[in-house]
Amino acid sequence: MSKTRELLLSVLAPLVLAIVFVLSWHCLVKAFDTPSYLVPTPGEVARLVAKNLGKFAGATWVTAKAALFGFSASLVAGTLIASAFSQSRLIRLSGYPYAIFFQTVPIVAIAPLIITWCGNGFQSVVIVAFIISLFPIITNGTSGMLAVDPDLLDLLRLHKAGRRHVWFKLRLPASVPHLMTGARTSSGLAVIGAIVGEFLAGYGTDEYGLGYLILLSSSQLKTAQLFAAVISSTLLGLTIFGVMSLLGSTVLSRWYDHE
Amino acid sequence: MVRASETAEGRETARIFRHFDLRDFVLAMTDPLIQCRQLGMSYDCRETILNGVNLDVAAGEFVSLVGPSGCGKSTLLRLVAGLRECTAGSLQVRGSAPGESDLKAAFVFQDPNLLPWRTVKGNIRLPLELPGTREADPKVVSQRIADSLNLVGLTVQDEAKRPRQLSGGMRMRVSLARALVTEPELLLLDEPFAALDDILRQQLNEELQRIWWERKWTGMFVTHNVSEAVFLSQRVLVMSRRPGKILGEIKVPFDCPRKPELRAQAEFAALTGEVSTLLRAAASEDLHGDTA
Repeated sequence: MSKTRELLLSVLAPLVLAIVFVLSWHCLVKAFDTPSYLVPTPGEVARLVAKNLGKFAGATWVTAKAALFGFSASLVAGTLIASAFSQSRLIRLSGYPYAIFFQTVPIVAIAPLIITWCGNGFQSVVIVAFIISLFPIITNGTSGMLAVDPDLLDLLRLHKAGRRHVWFKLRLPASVPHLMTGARTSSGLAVIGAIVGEFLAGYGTDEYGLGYLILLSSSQLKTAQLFAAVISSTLLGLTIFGVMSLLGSTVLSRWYDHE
Repeated sequence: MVRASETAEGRETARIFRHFDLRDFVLAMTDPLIQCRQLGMSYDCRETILNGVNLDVAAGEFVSLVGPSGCGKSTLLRLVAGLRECTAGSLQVRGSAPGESDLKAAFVFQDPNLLPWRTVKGNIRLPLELPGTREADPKVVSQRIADSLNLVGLTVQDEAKRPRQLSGGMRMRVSLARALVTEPELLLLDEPFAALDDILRQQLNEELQRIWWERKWTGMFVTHNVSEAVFLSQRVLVMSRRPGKILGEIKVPFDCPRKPELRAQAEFAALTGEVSTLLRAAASEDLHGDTA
């Protein structure tokens, strides 16, 4: 009973806050008589979305696809890199500074290179999403694979387990909670990466995503459309984060009490 | 005429023969399964954990190690298991270096260390999936798991449970079953019951004693609980402070398998007191280093 109430509260509380926010937004725009090219009313944004639903849904889908491709690639590559790092201290010490590259690289600076190598469009957007979302998977995966109990390592060693067995039977499954935490962060970053990627390389093809739509709306001073695109990208990020959190808690609740 | 049982010598002879056991006799006649000579172990050539350990353990014997915290009891178990290498002296397990021996050894840790993503059955099966103790025949695997579950007092209904659904005592039983499923010849137990309450600890002691008696493996048991050491073992070895060595040995002459009532006997209390006295001596600075 209390669990249902808690769930209801966790949905209702943010919903009430959103309603308060939208009403305040509407009242403030009306009160100050702000021109719609500066701040449109929520009603104007809603009407625009309703009128161009296909366009917004299409752009959101393109961005979602790029984010999901980039995120999936970073999940696979990040797990593989973390696995390599967990094998030896030497590999970790040699490789870690280069892994930090993915965290610190100014994507705007290397975007021209990506465009030169891969051209404008979807593939470059995916690469940007991949680069931005890779680091959390590497760090969380590595710490999870290294955090196994030394007694368990001794147990496996006692029964003559080699590196392969230790990885499959112990390190990989033990790192799943850490990988899920990394994946939650990474999924949000992948959406940001996809939108930034579309800013930089998302033009030149028939289909475009939310990033390009934001850029286009801004240059044409279509502020209502800009607001709608920003709201769509926020909703997309929230949806992907929510799905990842749900997936994580579903998987982990079988193992742990606290999840 | 004075009867033999009434003289001091006669009483002593009677005491010896009361505890005479064919198994003890066989143990005394065979080569030791584990033999340490002047065994030493230090980390990075700086911190010496063990120094000059001399120890023989016969096949089928159950020996307990007690000693002050940090004296190297657990390290000694790990050396015997071949999980660490000694830095001085020699250690042989059935005539070979521990890592090279064909002896089937199993280890039970202080923490049950169950894998949360596996069920009880999956956890018990783990050693049978590893190269050193692999068992390919699914029928044999199932039979061995069922036997181990039965030995430690778990039921088939518990098989599908996950570790989080088990109590502390049940987790330790699963950990014990995971060790027994390999049908070990040597079982190394590193304070397995330390985290359990006293009643549960006593129950598990009785079960461990029964399993040892039925299965005839050799046992090396590390504990801080003197009563537990006396109840389970044929010999209690008291170690000195770090760097650890064997400071003294007390034989436990009670018949096996032992019953819970043994704990209430005066002889049991006397032996427990004897071990405690030696342990206190081991912990004190005065005797440190010059008694062994």
